[in-house]
Amino acid sequence: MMWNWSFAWHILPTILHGMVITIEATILGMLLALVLGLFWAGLLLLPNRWIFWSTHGITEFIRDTPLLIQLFFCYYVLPEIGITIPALLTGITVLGINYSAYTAEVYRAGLQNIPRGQWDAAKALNFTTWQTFTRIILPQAIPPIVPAMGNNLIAMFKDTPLLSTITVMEMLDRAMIIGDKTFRYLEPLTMVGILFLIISLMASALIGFTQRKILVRR
Amino acid sequence: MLHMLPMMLRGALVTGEVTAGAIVVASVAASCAVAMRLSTLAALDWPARVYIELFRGTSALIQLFWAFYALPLVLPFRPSPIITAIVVLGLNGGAYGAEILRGALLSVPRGQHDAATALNFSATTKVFRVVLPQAWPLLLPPMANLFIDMLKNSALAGLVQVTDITFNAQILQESTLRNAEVYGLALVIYFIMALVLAGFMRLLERRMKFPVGARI
Amino acid sequence: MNHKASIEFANIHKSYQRTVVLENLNLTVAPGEHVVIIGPSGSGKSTILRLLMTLEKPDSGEILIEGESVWHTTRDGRNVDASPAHIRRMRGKVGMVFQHFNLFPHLRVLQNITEAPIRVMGMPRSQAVRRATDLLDRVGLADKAEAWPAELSGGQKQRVAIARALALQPRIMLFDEITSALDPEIAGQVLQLVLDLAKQTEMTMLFVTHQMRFARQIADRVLFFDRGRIIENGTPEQVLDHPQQPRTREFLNNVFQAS
Ligand SMILES: Nc1ncnc2c1ncn2[C@@H]1O[C@H](COP(=O)(O)OP(=O)(O)OP(=O)(O)O)[C@@H](O)[C@H]1O
Ligand SMILES: [Mg+2]
Repeated sequence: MMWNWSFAWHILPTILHGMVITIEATILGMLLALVLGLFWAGLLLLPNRWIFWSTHGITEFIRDTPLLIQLFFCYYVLPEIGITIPALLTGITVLGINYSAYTAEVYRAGLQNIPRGQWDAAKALNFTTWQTFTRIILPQAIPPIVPAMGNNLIAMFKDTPLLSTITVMEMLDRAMIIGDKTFRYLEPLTMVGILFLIISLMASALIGFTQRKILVRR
Repeated sequence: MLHMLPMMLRGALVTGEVTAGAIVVASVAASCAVAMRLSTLAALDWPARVYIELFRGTSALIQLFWAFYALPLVLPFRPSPIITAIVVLGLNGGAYGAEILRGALLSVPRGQHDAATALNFSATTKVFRVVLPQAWPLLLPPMANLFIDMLKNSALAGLVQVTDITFNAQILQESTLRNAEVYGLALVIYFIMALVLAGFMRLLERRMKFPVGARI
Repeated sequence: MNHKASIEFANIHKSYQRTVVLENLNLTVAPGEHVVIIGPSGSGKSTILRLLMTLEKPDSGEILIEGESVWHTTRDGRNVDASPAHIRRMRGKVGMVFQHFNLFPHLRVLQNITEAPIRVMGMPRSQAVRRATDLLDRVGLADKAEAWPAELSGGQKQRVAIARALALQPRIMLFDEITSALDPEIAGQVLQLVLDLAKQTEMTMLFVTHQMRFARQIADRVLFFDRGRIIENGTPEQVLDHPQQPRTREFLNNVFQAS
C-alpha cells in the first residue's frame, strides 16, 4: 500500500478544517496560560509562606502529571459536578491551566532578573506595590521572556493533538476518523505530521528572529 | 478505591518499563545524533539535524499514531505495541536530549580542549576524562526535566494498547464509572513516580558536584 | 651542542578565515635556547606557540621539531600528511603553560598532574603520584595536593599548571603570557619560579611575555614580532637596549611608559 496522491488531495480540506480548531485551541489556551501563570508568579512573590508553598505545590503537581490524564479527569469529572461545557472548551481550559504552571516559572525567572534596586527606587518614589509591579517591574521583565513564552506556545501547539482523545475534532482527530473509515492511515497521519512540522519550524524561526532582535536592543 | 489499586499498580509497572526503555533508547539516539552533529562531515551532520527537527517539530502523539497505524502498512512485520511505544517515545526524547547534550558539551571552554591536547591526551581520554565530566553538572538538571517529560509522555502509550496506568485507568473508568476516583488516583500515582524520579536525579546531581571557580 | 635545531619554522603561513596572522615565517631555535617573543597585541605571538603545540595547523610550510616534520612524513619518497600517531608522538615533545591556566576544574590538584603521565605515558599510578608530589614540592605547593583548583589563588593555579606541564618531561616548553592574569607581586613569584626552573633544566623554552625585566633575565634571544613578521631578532641587549627598527623603539617606549 503506497502513497495515494488523489486520496491525499481529497482529504486535505477536512484536515485543514481541523487545523483551524487546532490553532484556535492553541491561541485561547495560551492566553489563559499567560494570565493564570502571571497570577501564580504574583502569588509566589507574596511574603507569605503558606501562600508560597501551596502555590508551589499546585504548579508542581500540574507540571509533574501527564496532560492526558488531566484532560481525562476534567472531561469526566466536570459534568459530574454540574459543569457541562463543550469538549473544546474543556480542552482549552486544561491546556491553559497545564501551561500556566510553565509560564509561571518563566515569569518568575524574568522577575528575579529585575534588580532589587528597581523595587527600592519605586518605593522611594512612593509608588504602591501594585503600581510598582505593573508600571515598573513588569514592563522590564516582559521583553526578555518573550522567546521563552514563544517556546511554550510551540510546545502547547504540539500538545493540542491530545484533545482528540476527548472528542475535539482537531487535526489528529479528523485524520484518525478518515483512517478508521477508509483503512488508509498513511496519508492523513503523514499530512497532519507535515503540517505540524511546517508550522512549528516557522514559529521556531520567528522566535529565533525576535530573540536576536531583543538581544540587539539590549 | 482500594480495589482499584492492584490494577493501577500493575499499570504503574508497565509505565515504569516504557519510561525506562524509552530513556535507554533516547540516550543512545541522543549520543549518536550529537556525535554526528559535532563531526565535521556534512554527510553525518545533516541526517542528525533532520532527525532532531523531525521529532521536535511534530508532536509525540502523532509520531506514536503514525508508527502504530501507518508504519505497519509499509513494514514487513508488526512490532508489539510496547516496543513501538518505547522506540517512538525514545526517539522523541532523544531529539530533545541531543540538543541538551550538545549544549552541555559545547559549553566546555576552549582552554580545556587546549590543555587536554597540550598534555597529549588521546581523543577518547579527552572526551571521557575532560569534556564529559565537566559537561555532567550542566547536563543533569535539564536531563532530569527531560526524563520527567518522558515519564509523562509515556501516558500516550496507553492510547496504543500498552497496558500502562492510563490504559488500566480507562478500563476501570468504563467498568466502575467512578471517574473522579479513577483519574484522581492515576494523577497521584504519576505524581509520586515523578517525585521519585526527580529525587533520584537530584541525588545523582549532588554526587557529581565539584567546586567550580570563575576561571580555572 | 646538538647539530639539529630544536625547533624550525620554514615558510609558515597561517590565517584565520580572512585575517592573515603569519606570513612566510622562518624561525630556528637551538636546543636548550631560551627565546622570548615580544610584540603588540594581535601580532600573532600566541599563534606561533599554538602552532608548535599542534593546537593549530599551519596553512602551508613546515614545522620541524628536532629535525622531524610535525605534520608530514615521507612515504615511498613522497611527502604525505602525517598519521595521528606521528602527530601525537611529536606533540609529546612539547609542553605548554597557558595565560588562563586551564586547569581541569573537576580534578584535584594532584590528579591534574598525574592524569597525563598515567593515561598518556602509561606510568603506574604510584610512580605518577610520587613524581607529582615531587613537582608540587618544587613549585612550593606540597600542601595543596588534595585541593580543588577552584580553591587556589591565581598564582597557585599557575604553579600547578607549570607542574602539570613538567610531569610529561617535554623537551620543549612554551609559556604564553603566563603572568598577565596575575597581580604584579604574585607574577614576580611565578616568574622567579620559572627562572629557577630554566637554570636547572636543559629544555628549550619559548616565552611570550610583556615583562621586560623577566625577558632580560631569561632570554638568550629576543624576537620582536609585529603583524606576523619578525621585525627584530637578537640578544636582549641588542633588541631591548639598541633596537634598530623604529617600530621596535615605539613599542618599547609604550611598554616602558606603561610600567
Ligand atoms: N581562533 C581564532 N579565530 C579567528 N581569529 C583568530 C583566532 N585566534 C587568533 N585570531 C586572530 O589572529 C591574530 C593573532 O592572534 P594571536 O593570539 O596570535 O595574537 P597575540 O600576539 O598572541 O596577541 P595578544 O598579545 O593579545 O595575546 C589576531 O588578530 C586574532 O584576532
Ligand atoms: Mg596571545
